[in-house]
Amino acid sequence: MNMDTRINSTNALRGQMSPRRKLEIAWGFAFVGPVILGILVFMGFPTLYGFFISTFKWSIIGKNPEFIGLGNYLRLINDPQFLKALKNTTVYVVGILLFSVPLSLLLAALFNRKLPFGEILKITYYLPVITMMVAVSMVWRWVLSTEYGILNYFLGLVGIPNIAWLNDPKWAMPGIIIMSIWKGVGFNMVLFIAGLKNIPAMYYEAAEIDGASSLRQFLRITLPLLSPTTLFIFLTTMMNSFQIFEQAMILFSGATEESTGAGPDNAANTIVLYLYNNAFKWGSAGYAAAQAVILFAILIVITSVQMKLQKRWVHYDA
Amino acid sequence: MNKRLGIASFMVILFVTVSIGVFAAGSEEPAAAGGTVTFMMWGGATEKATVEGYLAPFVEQNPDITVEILTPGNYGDALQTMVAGGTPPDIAYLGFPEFVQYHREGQLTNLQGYADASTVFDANDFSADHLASFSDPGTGDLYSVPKDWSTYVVYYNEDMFKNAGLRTPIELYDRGEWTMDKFLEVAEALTTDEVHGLLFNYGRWKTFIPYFAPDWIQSTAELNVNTPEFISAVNFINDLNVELGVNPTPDQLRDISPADRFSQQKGAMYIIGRWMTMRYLTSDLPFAWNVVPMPEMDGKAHTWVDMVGYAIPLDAKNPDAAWRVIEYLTGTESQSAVAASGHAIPIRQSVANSEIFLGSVREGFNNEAHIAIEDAAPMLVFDNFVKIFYDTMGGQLNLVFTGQKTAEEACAELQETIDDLLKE
Repeated sequence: MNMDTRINSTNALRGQMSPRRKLEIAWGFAFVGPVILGILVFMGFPTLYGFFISTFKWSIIGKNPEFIGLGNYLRLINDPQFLKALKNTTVYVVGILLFSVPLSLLLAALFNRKLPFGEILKITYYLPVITMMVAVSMVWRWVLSTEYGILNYFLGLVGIPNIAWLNDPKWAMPGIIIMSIWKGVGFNMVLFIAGLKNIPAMYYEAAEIDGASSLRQFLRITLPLLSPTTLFIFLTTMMNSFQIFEQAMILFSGATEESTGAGPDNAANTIVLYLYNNAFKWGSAGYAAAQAVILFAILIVITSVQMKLQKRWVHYDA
Repeated sequence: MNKRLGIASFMVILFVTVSIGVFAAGSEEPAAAGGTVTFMMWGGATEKATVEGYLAPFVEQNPDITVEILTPGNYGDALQTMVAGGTPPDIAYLGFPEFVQYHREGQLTNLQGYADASTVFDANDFSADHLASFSDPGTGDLYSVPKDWSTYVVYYNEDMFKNAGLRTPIELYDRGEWTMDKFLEVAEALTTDEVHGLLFNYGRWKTFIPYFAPDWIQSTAELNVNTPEFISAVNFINDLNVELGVNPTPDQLRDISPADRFSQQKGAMYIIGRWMTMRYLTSDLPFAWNVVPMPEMDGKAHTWVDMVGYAIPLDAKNPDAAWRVIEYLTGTESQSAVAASGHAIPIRQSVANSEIFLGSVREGFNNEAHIAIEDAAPMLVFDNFVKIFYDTMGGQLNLVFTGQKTAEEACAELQETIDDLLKE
């Protein structure tokens, strides 16, 4: 123990700080202060303000907001469109988590080995990620076209009749899920590849010596040691999926003269889309804020539960 | 404990300060006439250049005023946000339904005083219906000046009619034979495996409703859609494809838009507004085409009227100069330029009925078709209009047109939904 540490320890015991320590803390605040201020102003304030306006009946251009307490929240409970949007969003989130995350892992496992043209394939899978969602959605309007769409063309080759992806309420959400998987699978794939690279080779070598099969190695070594990455991907994918907006908005707007993007019979209506329409099209900004608060609460609850449960299945020590 | 109290106090002070800032914004003192006028409009570079062209003489005559044109993407959202933030433009485009929303919220400047004092503005040269659409229904005071308007007409491929040995719609119109029956008859006659006799976007269902149910809007708080008349109108539109096969399916129209189908000669007639004229004119279509008014049924023709106005938001910084710009743009000089360009139907009746407009676009073009229906006026804007009319009705009726519900089922459900939405 050197002299400074001894002095600091003594001061700490007395409940005092040394001038040097105080200076260090002051510099620390000076460095992080602008960031904290930015977070408070641009994230903290809008969040609090969202709570605040959710208690008002207020159109965004209204001059006289009317305080209605929990009125907007009570309205939400009885709003079939909101409940449908909630259900649609849940279906979307589940669909993405069920299909996109395992597919990303599969591709990552594939590309983690040396494959001919592996790098080119990796880039190809990643290209949709860096393409604008607006452009992707426009292209997918054609892919999902009933009569001229390439998806129906391929399905037709195996005898499946044309599906009205964009006009049939049953197929609207599956259409969006397929497009979103195509768009996002490359991002999670790259994260999984990074995770796979961090697993020390010695575990696999030891397992091979013990005669473990590839499947067993995957289940007993890869999956557990990849669990921190899996948790991260699971949480970020879930949070992003709950906020689905532009896919539906662009795919379905223009179907009729309406441009809500909610799809046939509101089959593609999602929470954020409904929120946006309420705030900017239908003059119910307070009601939209209440929806945002509910979405916030849902995300907080699910994330908290996951963070609690992670102790059971996430292994941080390789 | 003190630290926590300090942080909590800081958060509360920050929240209250910014809240006050947001709510208090917009209470700045008005500026004097002259200076910079911010003019917000929709459209891209072409539309902006067109308006700059209309404004060029004004800018030359009024060196004390600088007009700054803004063309934000997502116009509606941008305008709402600017108004909410207390920093609106001095002049904004407003469609007639949006006008009602802004006026109801008290966000527009009363222009009646300006209009009364003006030597340029002449209320008698505007249609009374048009002015009423932008006035307070109680006091009659003007809150926005109509900019221009558009009516739906039937665009037709003249070559197709001639090649099929049929009289063209304009010939039928001149002979007094342009009826709904004749319209459907020629549509059927021109329909082949490759060509549809009619191109009608199902989203524009509103076009045919007045033919069957002219009184479906009883008041701003009462709509009747679950009636035999309204259901007949929906079935009529649906049967254009299902029974007659003259109109493509919604899927087909999504794959290739009706506008493109017409220019690609996949359709003989197309119902749409004035704005399509300039597009087809600049596309230099490789066939002869013209327009004709909507057909008559039971001796009466109906059309849909779109109308846009110039408004000065209440918190505009420079309302006096903004009025001078509006006064000019809606004056006969500027409206004559609008008419000559062929872009829109002039709002000034004297200009709309003059050779400047009637002889615009190209020789022989039937501009008169747009003003042929004398009582054409914008629809009454009822409560919760955008949500009910565009989104709820459009979405529900689309289920009929895609074969997922019958008109009876859809209209019965719609009536319940509409009644609830009217109470919102």
